[in-house]
Formats: sequence, structure tokens, C-alpha cells
Amino acid sequence: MAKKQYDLLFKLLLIGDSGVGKTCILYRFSDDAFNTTFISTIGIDFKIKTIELKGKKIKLQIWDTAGQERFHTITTSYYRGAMGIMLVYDITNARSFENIAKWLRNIDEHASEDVVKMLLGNKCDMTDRRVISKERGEKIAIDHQIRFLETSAKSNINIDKAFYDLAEAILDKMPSQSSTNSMSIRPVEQESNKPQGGCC
Amino acid sequence: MYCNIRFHRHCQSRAPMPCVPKVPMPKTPSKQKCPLAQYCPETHPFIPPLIIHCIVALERDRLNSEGIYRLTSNAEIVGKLYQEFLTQRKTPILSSVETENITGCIKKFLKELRDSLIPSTSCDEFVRAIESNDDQEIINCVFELAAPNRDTLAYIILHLQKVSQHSEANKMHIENLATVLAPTIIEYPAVVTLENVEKLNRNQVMILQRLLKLPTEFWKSFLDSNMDAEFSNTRSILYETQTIGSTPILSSLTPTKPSKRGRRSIISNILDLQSDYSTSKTSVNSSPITPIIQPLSNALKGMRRISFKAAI
Repeated sequence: MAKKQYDLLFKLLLIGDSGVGKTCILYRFSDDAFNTTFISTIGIDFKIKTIELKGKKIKLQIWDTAGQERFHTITTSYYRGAMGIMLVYDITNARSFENIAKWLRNIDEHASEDVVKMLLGNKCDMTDRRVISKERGEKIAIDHQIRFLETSAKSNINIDKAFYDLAEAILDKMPSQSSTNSMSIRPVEQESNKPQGGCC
Repeated sequence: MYCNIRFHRHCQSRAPMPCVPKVPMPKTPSKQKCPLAQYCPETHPFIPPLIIHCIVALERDRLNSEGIYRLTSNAEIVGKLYQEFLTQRKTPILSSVETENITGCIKKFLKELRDSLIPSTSCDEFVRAIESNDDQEIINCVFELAAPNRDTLAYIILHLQKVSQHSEANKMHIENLATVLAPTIIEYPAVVTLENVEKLNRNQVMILQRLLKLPTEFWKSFLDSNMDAEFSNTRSILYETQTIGSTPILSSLTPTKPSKRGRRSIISNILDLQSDYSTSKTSVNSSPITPIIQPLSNALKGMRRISFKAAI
């Protein structure tokens, strides 16, 4: 136990259409950098960042998935272990917004029932190319009872807030018998080990 | 074999283009997937009409479209378009279809094949070839492919090379195109597990990258000339041995030899149409004669040992 540098481990997943900026969001959050090169993600990738929330050190293990359809069979296998899912669309791309319903169905199908979902409308700095209003994003989020934020990885708008809010929501959802800290660690660890055992 | 359509010169713009042979919808029991050959015409080049129509539409005015091939399509629209292509007599009009749905249709077609364009059985050979780091090995692998796979692959690669030439506008350079399309073009040879998936993905992408980096002339040679006499009918075997022999293939493409007009029609139809619209300066007729596109017919086996590096 002494080795552990964190109190809790949260597994998060970034999903959404190709080119909406999932990798850029993650890169901005983990390395505080933005790269304009337009490089597709191969399969799946992850980054780790430890944050402090309500006096707890929380290690976020964030999985970044490829939006390409052909990778879906692989990426969906990562849904199960996820405690939080960020579903990203691009406010300048109507198609990515239309596909939200499809992604939500994917979550229902493959993720655990109590997973915390969050909708992100990325690229909100590009006001001149916006085709999806903030209101439409808010509405779909309300309809599906999920959290919503507009973000910009490029201008660093709401990126940290998105991850902190999601982590906080997961933390709040955790078994309330948190009077004993060690108790609350265990179930998290078991969950995180599951996917590796289950899928191979 | 061409369609014999005739029209007034001024009406040319309204002619159905490109003119490609129609292929009847393959009849399969229940919902079995069809092999590529069943979607291809009976004459060279063996490329499914759907692929040609979609690529011609993309090359007409969409090569600068940002994120071409990367952006996700609308599955419903793509599904409809795909069905229309395969079941309707009339070719769907693509001018009003969004770019990502046209690329989506190409992806769907390739995904719905019984085996991928580079079949799972060939995948290990391709992996060995890229590991050997020798272009000749890759070229050998391409020659091992069945004629429909090889011709279709050649046509798609030529198209993707054109797409990558516009990467300043569309941001899709070769590496990006390879990442996005590798899983569509190359099938996993092994059972995918979470342990091996990363290596499999990287191998797929590497294979497609290397194919995209082979010289344009190499890929063009497959469309210019029918290298697999076995696949085509007897007449074309005779035709090849009689007329081409050791003479440069380019001569057979010149209008001075009227006997080749039928043959030229389809190939040049596809290629010329594209060179009209693309910014590329080279067209079929002006491309330099290289050793690559000379020998044919009876020298099929010899072809494999010819080095293509000189042509770069």
C-alpha cells in the first residue's frame, strides 16, 4: 500500500467521430500542448494524469480511441472497464453531432450501466465555422441526462474543467461508505483489472 | 468491350461518366458476402464499377476537402448509396453526395467483401516483406495477388497518391491515409486479442504506407496492361501474345493501331477522365516509357525480378 502514489484510479474513455479532436483534448489535458498536425489515432492509446480532488489523489487513466469505424470492434472492448466516458463532437461538423445518438447506443451496449457520461462540443474557438449551436448541444445533453461542456483544445477552454467535472461525478457516485478509505479503494481496483482478464 | 453510346458533341457534358461496364449484382445464397471478383467486370482492368464511380467523383472536385477519408460518414446514407450501386440499373448521381459519404461508400464496399482487398492469407507475406525493408519483396507480394485484387488495389493506391498530393489542403498525407484506411484494406491474419492488437494495427498501417510509397508508374502499369492472362478470356490471351510481345505497351495505347481501340476505351476512359480534372500534369499518353511497363504476356514470371527502383 505504501507504494501507491494515489488514492483512487479512474478509468476514462474518449469516444466520438474521426477528427473531432479527441486526441487533442487528451494531449491538452495531459501535456498542456496543442498540435495542429492532423494525425489519426491507430486503434487505442492512453495517457495518465494524477489530479487532486476533494483531498484525494486520483490517478486518471484516459483511453483515447480511434474514431475510424474499422477499429470499433477493438475500441468497444475498452468500454466495459471505463468509469467515465467523454463523448466528443465537433461544433463545426454537423455529422459528428448527428452521430451522437449512435455513440450513446454504443455506450448502452458495451459500457457498464453506472458509467458517468459527458458530452463535449469541441473546437468552440472556431466561431466562424460553427454549425452546431451551444443550445443544440445543451438540449441533447438534457434529453439524455448527461453533462455537457463546450471545449477548445486549441484555446484551452474548459479542458481541465471537463476532466475534473467527470472525475468529481465519478467520485460522488462511488459507494458512500467512504468513512473507511481503504474500503473504497478495493472495488475500483477490481474493476480496473477486469477488462484485461475478461477479454484475452 | 465498350458501351457504344453515341451522343452529340455538345451533349457530351451530360453523358454518364465515367463509362464503365456494368456488372450484374452477384447472386449469393442468403446473406453471404461475395468475393471481389464477382463485383468486377469480365474484362481488364478488373475494378468494381462502384469503386471507379466513387473515385472519379472524388477526383473531380473534392481532393482538397479537409480530412477526406478520415471523417466519419452517415451510416444510413452510405448504406442506401451502397445498395443503390449494387442493385439499381442506373448509377447513383454523386455530385450532391457529401464527400465523407462517398469515401464511406468505398470503405463499406471494401468492408463487405468476403475477404479484404489484401486478403488475410497474404497478410503474413506482406508483413515479412515490410520487415525485409526491400521494395522488391513488396512488389513480389503485389504480383502474387489475384488480378481483381491487384487491379483494384492499384487503382485505389493511384487515387490515394493523388489525394496525398493535396495534403496541404486536405491534411491527409500518406501516413494519415495509411492509418485511416489500413484496417479497411488489410484483414487481420490472426485472432485479435488485446495483446496483439497494437502490433497488428501497426503492421497494417506499415504495409499500406509502403504500398503508397511505391512509384506511381508501378501502379499504373497494372491498369495500362493486363498482366494476368489466365484471368481474362482466351481472346485476350491471343491478343496479348500477338500484339504486345516485347514492344512497349505504350505503343498499344496510341490511336494509330485501331485494333486496340476497344481495349483502350475503358482504361483510358478511367484514367483520362481523371487526368482531365486532376492537377497532375502527367496523363497516360505523356507518361515516360519506363522499363516497368514494357514486358508483358509470356514474360509474366520474368516481371517479378525486374527492379522497379530505377523508375522512381
